[in-house]
Amino acid sequence: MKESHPDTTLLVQARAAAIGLDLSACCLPGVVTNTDLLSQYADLLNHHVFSDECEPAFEYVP
Amino acid sequence: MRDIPTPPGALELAAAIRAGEQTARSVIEATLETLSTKDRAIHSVTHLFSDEACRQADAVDALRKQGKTLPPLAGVPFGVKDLFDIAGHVTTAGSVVLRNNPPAKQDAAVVQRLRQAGAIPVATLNMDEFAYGFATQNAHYGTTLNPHDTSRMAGGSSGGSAAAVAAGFLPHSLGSDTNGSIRIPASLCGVWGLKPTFGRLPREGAYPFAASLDVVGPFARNVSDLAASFYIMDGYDSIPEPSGADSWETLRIARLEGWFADNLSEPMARALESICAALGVTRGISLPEVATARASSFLITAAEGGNLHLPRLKEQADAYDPATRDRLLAGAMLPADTYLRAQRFRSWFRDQIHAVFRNEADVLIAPAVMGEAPRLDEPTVIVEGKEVSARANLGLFTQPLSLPGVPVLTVPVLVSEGLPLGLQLVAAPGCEEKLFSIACHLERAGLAGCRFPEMKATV
Repeated sequence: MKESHPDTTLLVQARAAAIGLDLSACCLPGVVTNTDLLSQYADLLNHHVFSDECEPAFEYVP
Repeated sequence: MRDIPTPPGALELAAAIRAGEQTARSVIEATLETLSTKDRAIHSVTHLFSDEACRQADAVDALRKQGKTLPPLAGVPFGVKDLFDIAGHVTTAGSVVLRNNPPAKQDAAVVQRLRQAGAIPVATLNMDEFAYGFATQNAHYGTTLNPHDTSRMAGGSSGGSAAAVAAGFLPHSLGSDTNGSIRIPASLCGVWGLKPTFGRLPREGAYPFAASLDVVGPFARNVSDLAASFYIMDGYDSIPEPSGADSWETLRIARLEGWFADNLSEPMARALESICAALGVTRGISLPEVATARASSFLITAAEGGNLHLPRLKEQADAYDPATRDRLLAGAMLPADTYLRAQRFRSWFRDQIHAVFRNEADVLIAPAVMGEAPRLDEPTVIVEGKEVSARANLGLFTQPLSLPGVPVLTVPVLVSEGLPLGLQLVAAPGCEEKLFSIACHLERAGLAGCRFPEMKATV
């Protein structure tokens, strides 16, 4: 796992504030680590080019 | 570890009760005794329903005495992952956060169907808190141990359900699978497990995790029991005969390559080769962008799980297992763009795998995990030559196949002498019968099935 970007802590605090979440100090390191992990996965998605017609899979279509 | 004779399966027990060779009461009492005395070795049980189970067993015996026809699973005990509603009991989902909720007013829909078929719920079974994990290491209810080697992981999140069946305590059980939570413990504990097609079995009364991916499904000691449990939960009154059209010999079977061929332990690679050889599989298929499929499954789960729990996390974050809490909080704060991209990728990936089933194969074979159960004191697996956390990476092969919602059956292979190894059989949506057909063949050929170590007890 890559090291936490120092800005991730600020990012997490900003995201928490945006949804009215008061993050306690004891949660912060773990949430930052998990946010970094999720960011790595999100990076993979950013490389995929979607057609405008590719809709989110809100409904299951077998 | 010395093998002992196979305990009776669900259909075998039902037949014995129908024939009057055993009473339902004696079966249930023996099961409760086993769970009370022997489960301390593996910690698979969280709660027993002793009184209700005995009352239901007496009702089965009374029906038989009256000469009434018994339903197909009359008197057969089963256990449920601790997230299924059982009427009159609080559903805790492996947490203490919900313990002050009112008791469930009715059984979960699939439990209702099994109960109508005469099966008797006897216990709730351990799980990762809110199903968020692959290890069944629960800060509140303890760690479930692998019955084949108690120094190793049972897998998760339905670890109690897999371990209780593997140990021979129960003939069948229920679990849920979002990212691999049936398939991983089935593989590590060496039992049959089915993740049905997304949406095929009703989820009402099963505590949710990630609505886009959650499915409920059975574990069993043999394929007949697995199929019986599945079809009854699917609303069948009786167990359908296999269709000749789905005979395994007529099916186009291919092996998943690329992502699914890397990072395998030597025993797993050998097991996969042996099973493919036995099925005459010569063709390999590579799915596109599997890493992104896994990432999407991971992100959707984090976002939906986080969103589900956010109101409670704002009020009582300290009541959660810190590891679960921090994952859920990070997920709750994922940007909408990331979540929607993952859902758009889900549409795209589903189209790709549906095209494979239309044009190239009926059933795909892949490993369920990289190898044997990791040790609890060294919880790592090898990925790309590096030791990485087992808890975070055991879903390497299951998560990508969660995304498209296809049915997947976990096969406990019998081609090696060591710890259990599981393979995934994957079919097009709604084609579970094809999976049962191949599984049946492998079981009859002695290539797959459950082994029972010495610690296990019979019911």
